[in-house]
Amino acid sequence: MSLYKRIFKQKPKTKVDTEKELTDFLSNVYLFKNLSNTDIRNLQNYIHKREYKQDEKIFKKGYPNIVMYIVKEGKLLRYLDYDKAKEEGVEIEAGHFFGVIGLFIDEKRTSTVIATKPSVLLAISKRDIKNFIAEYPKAGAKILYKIGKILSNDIVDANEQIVELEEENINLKEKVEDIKSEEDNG
Amino acid sequence: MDRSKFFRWIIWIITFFIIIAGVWFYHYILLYIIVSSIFAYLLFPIIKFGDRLQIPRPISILITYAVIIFLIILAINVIVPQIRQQAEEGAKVVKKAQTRLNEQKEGSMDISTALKTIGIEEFADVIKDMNSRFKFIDLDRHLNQMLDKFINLLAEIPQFLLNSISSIINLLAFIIVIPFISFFLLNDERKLMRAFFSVIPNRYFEFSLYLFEKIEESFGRFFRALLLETFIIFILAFIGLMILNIPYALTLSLIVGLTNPIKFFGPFLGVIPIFLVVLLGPTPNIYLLYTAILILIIQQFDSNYLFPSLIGKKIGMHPLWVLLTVISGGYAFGVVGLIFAVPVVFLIKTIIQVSGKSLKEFEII
Repeated sequence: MSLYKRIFKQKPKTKVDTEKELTDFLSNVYLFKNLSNTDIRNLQNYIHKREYKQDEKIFKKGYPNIVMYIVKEGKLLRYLDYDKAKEEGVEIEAGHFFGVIGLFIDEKRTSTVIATKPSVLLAISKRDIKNFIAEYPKAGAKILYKIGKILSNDIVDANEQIVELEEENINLKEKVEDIKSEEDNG
Repeated sequence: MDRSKFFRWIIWIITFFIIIAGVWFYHYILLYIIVSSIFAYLLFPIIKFGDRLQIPRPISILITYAVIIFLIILAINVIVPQIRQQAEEGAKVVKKAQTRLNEQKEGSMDISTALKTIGIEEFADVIKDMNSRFKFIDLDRHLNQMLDKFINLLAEIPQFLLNSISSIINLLAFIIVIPFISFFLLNDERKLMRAFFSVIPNRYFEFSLYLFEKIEESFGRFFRALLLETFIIFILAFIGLMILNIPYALTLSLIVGLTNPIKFFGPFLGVIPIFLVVLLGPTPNIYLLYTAILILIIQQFDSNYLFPSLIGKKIGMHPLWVLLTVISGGYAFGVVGLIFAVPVVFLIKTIIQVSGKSLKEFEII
């Protein structure tokens, strides 16, 4: 959205409404589900609301990893290697979040994320999350626990995928050898 | 050009003029905003601590203000009378020296008698001795010129204080307004930040956030380290001067502390009043050496251990660069320049360094 539109064409919506709407939304996000309303309102102070057009790039692989996003509205695609043609992106929908690895390690962005529909994202910087955790340790612990749970699930999924892929790999190798021996015989 | 584009241009031009008019209208209070921001910035760690204890911001700000006012009142009641007494005594000594010098000035006077008049007899003898040995330098004439300048300078002090009264009134207004602005800066800090970042286009959002955090991190550390350093040096100088039993230790160490942030020249400026007190007062002149050693030790401790450990690393400016910056600052903006030249140049250097690196990382250039 251009600077011009940002300044002159904002929808007339009262501040209180949007703040309350945001609180309701956040308390339904899996990451923050067991936080108290006060915690969520405190967290809201750190959140930047960003609006993206269709096909707008959120970030690119290799950028510094300093902001995590929660999808409020819209749909996005995550590409591990965007420049490769025909790569199928992984869908990210409302209520999901991405860019969380940067909270824990100083790694560059490992994927490219692009909005496929007009989207509203809630952005929190790595430093602000650290500040929030330092200021509200109880709420911070809950969030960190949830993130740990999600990442652990991801690891379990990834492990299963590795096992599947290895089996596939072995099958393929066997097939290749079969074909080779057939060729030798033929 | 189609109509909507034309219309858009008109709006842009009007906006531009409104901004210019706004800046012009508010430029008088720019200094207020800057000082309030610095004040708020200094208090911020305390307010954040209050957040951690779940104290609402307005209340923790008011508590902090109350504590500061209490400390100021305490300072006024305990420290200021001491400083005033010391300053008054010092002024008396100066005044006495001045009147005596003036009396003698009626007749022609050489420097050694002048020095004898104000009670620095040993030094006078040294000069007389030097004078007779190195006749060709005409030391007498040079020193007499210096003496004239010195007397004029002394005469200007009361006038200077009178002139300051109007600026003191301005200062009072300043002091009353600053806490108000700081209050809102501290209370709505997150809102202001979000408002600021909300007008930045998506393409530059992460970049600007990154830039802001990096700059705040390195400059904030530098700034806080500088303040803490001033305070520690003040305490060290006070203890040292108390041990050496130099009169007016509190005032003198305050000057040492406050001049310390001026790189290179600060310690020299800070030691001048001490030397004057030793020379003019009853303290034996050998204490010049002792105080010089004391300041040297403090200075070495500061530059080798204290400041590096406070800031966490070297500031990455070559000593020669720092020296030239201080000199230029002094030429351009006087005392203010002396104090703020290095921090400001450091800030600009940090901005350029960080933005150069992150502009590339975010593929903006």
